[in-house]
Amino acid sequence: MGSSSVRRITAAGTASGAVLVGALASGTVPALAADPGLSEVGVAGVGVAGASSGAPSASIEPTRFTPGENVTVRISGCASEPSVGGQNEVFVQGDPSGFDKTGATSWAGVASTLPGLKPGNSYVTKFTCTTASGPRTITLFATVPEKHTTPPPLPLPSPPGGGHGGGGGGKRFHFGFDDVDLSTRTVVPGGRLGMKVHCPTEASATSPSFVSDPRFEETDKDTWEATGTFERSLPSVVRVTIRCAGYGHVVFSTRPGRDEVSPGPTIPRGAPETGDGSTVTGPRNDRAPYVGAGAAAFALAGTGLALRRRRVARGRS
Amino acid sequence: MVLAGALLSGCGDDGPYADGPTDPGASKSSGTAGPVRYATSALARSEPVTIRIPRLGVTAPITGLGLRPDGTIEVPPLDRPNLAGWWKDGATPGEKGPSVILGHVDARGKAAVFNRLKDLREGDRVLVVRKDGRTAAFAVQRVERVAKAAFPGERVYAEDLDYAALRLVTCGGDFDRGTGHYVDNVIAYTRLVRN
Repeated sequence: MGSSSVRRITAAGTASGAVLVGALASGTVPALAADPGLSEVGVAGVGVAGASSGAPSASIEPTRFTPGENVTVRISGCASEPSVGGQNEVFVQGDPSGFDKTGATSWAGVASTLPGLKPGNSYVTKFTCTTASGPRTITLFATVPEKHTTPPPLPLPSPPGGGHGGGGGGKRFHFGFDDVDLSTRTVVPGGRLGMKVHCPTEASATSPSFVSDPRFEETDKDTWEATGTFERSLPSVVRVTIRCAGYGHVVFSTRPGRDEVSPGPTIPRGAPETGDGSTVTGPRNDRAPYVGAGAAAFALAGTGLALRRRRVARGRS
Repeated sequence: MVLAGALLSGCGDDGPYADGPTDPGASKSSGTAGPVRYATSALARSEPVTIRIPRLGVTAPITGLGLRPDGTIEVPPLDRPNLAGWWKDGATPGEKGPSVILGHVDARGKAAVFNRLKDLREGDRVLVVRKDGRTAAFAVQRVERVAKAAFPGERVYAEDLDYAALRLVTCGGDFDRGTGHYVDNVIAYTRLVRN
């Protein structure tokens, strides 16, 4: 797999950020232009080489932020004012409420990040705008690193090179999505996936959908490449975890046949609220027996207070 | 952090039961659960229609659940306490990977479909009828109660599995009258078995 065949999937990381942010733009492949969600990957963000010339890009400032803080979203390459396009997992609803024009095709807007962004999860917000060649979708990623992604103490056995992930220059290396290039965004049964990983130690990749774990070879300094082969029968969501020994991992997911790879699967936020407490008669639900019709009638006949409590419980659920 | 310990444990994800011929835990279960033989293959995608849990006397229709605008998962309407909900962005029951079905523990003054989920035991069966007419049979591996603040979303919805699994989720623990919500979730982890 030559590097020229590798498309960058996602972009900018931070040197030492609490949140890693990247972006990909879509809409540069004419055959796919009818669907703004399907297209070649562009690159946006901070400090990432190889951005597709002319493709819209997005970044946020500061790239290192604490969930809940306000950030400035910067989008370039758009002739029209960008807007949030359907999916917004990074910012509170309605943010950014608008963008100010800062250049011929550059825009900036302020948005509040959601306070509930959790370590280890990746979040996506999609923006849409019109460019000279038609409508485009720009996908912004925010990844909150898990604690275990903290690199080991220096000195490292082999200091990382510059460029990716904030490595080099004496800075600590942080493994992120921008350190991974995938050969395709479309996973098909029996198909292959080329992976090029920037990692100063050793790269590996696993997926329940791989026939076997791919074997990485170091093709250049701090650069590892391998090809994985998918099974002929795939689940509806395929996940691939790529690790850099000692520096953590990133997870990509997609649905077979779709030209779309996301950093991580869709995981609902928080915990399900599956009950209104309307059968709880005591302070602890555990101690309450299974409440059948007779028991419920007994409890309701007890006091007006019980009835009042239930009304309150219903109203709050 | 899991605030409450597992209500039942002992059957690991793999260990001696992985694709083995017999699950000794099943012998401790009720007559509703026979010997467990985990499936070595999965089914094609097909959406679930009904769920049946013999030990609990549950038979319920299933609806699809998506995301709310705030990113939390939808739940079945409270005025249909016997309706279960399937997370439609995940695997379908019987398909490789984790599928997830939610149900209320109580609703509108009634014990709801998953009211007794915590009573499930290792080896108990869960049967899901699918749109393709096939029935996916699962055996309970373990049941745990976790604080909502520590709900293991990654594990429940997106665990890397090379087999078909089904997770049943409801509420449990104390009911916080201040917030109007239960403080815990009860999660039953099950795995596809051979019919």
